[in-house]
Amino acid sequence: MRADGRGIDELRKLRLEVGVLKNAKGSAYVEWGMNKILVGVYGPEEAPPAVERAERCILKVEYRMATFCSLEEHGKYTPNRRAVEISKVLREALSNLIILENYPGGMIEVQILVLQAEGGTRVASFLGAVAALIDAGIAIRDIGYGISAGKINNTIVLDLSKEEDNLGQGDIPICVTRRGDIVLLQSDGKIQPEELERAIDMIISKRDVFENIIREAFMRRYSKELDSDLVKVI
Amino acid sequence: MIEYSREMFLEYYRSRKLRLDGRRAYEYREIVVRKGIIATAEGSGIARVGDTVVIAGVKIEYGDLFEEAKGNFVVNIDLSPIAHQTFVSGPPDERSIELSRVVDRGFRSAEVVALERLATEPKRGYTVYLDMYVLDYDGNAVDAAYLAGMAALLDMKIPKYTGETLDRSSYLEGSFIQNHIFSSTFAKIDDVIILDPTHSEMILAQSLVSIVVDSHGNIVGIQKSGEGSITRQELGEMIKIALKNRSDINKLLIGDTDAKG
Repeated sequence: MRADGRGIDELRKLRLEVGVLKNAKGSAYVEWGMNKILVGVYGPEEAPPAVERAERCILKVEYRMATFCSLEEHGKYTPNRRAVEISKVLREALSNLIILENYPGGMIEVQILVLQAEGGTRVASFLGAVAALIDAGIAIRDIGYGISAGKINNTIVLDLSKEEDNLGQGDIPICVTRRGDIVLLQSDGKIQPEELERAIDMIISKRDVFENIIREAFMRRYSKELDSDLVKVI
Repeated sequence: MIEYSREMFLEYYRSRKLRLDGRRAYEYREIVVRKGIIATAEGSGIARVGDTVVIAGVKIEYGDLFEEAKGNFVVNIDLSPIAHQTFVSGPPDERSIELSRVVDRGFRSAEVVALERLATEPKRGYTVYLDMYVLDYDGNAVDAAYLAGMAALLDMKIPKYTGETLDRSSYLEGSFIQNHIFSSTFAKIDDVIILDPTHSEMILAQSLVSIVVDSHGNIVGIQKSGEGSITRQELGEMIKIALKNRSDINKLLIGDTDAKG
């Protein structure tokens, strides 16, 4: 039924590596389908003087797309409205995971750069950000992951590719914590309430898959199995 | 990042003729270059010089030309905030603009891309966008950017213009690259000249000089920055080293055939 022959809840090929950047305190590289996304985390450190000091740590999240990340035309140099929105919803989603009270007066910065895009970049970025935050040693309440569900031929499927997103009837990116709380939820297209329920069930059922992906990435990092040279990983 | 004072550097260098990371004055850090790593680009490359990593991608568009009978060539390099804490997003600062212009100049002066062949009509033709992102930073972004940019151009394919749209699945025949260029960046710390400075060394340096040369031995770009000065003898020495580095760097660019989707 699906263009690439996948089953309805079958994910595209997914690869996560951590510790690929030297300067950033924590980093992750995600390849998910044709997506290639790099995440760097800085901090926590003292919030700059221009920023009002808060009881809770300030979280800054920036999602950017390289100008060559799309098969179509050359991208703009400045973030478009879509990138600004994604930065915001990712920041809010990640705020649920990070124990921000642990770092009063501080600031944590999550930098996301999409190098190659093929649908589902926001959920792939979320996974990368979670891994990079862990790699940075930042205290988190729980791990999280996200998948973009979609509707094709009146059927709910997981992990839309770009092609499916363009032709499908709906796109529902959802990020959840390991315990199943929803931290990012968007829906675009016509979806029945029971279809949304089904999408959430399908996404939550992938919990163990993502827990393993994250665990294995760290095992590779610390067993030195991975040559963490970004130039070779990418 | 290791921080040290100028005195420490000079004392160490004068007694051992070695830099604090163990390199000789004109020794590069490890360089790794790969091509064809981004499938959505019409050409791509990534280069690592020590712990400085730059990725470059080419996108091709079709439209009006800035100059008659000459394809457009636009170069940009972004000091991405992912690479270093001091790089911030937003409008490019003077450091970022200088870097973009220095890198643009070499490619343009050396006529690396055969732009005349990218004009299909006197006022219509292709635009080559060569965009680079610094992903990780430990000094000398200039040389890493030239390597990544050169690798991306060597990997470049020009999609066919059908008369209405660009068909990004079929490409023009032949190569559009007619020259290769190589950059060597030097730092001067008091009277000591070193090649390929790290970030810590750049902080100590009073002068930085990037010298870009082409396959034929022409100088195709120079940028001196920093508030110090250099002597004519020192400049001559740097040019000699830059020319000597050519064949080693070219091997790295040509030698890489590791391409994947």
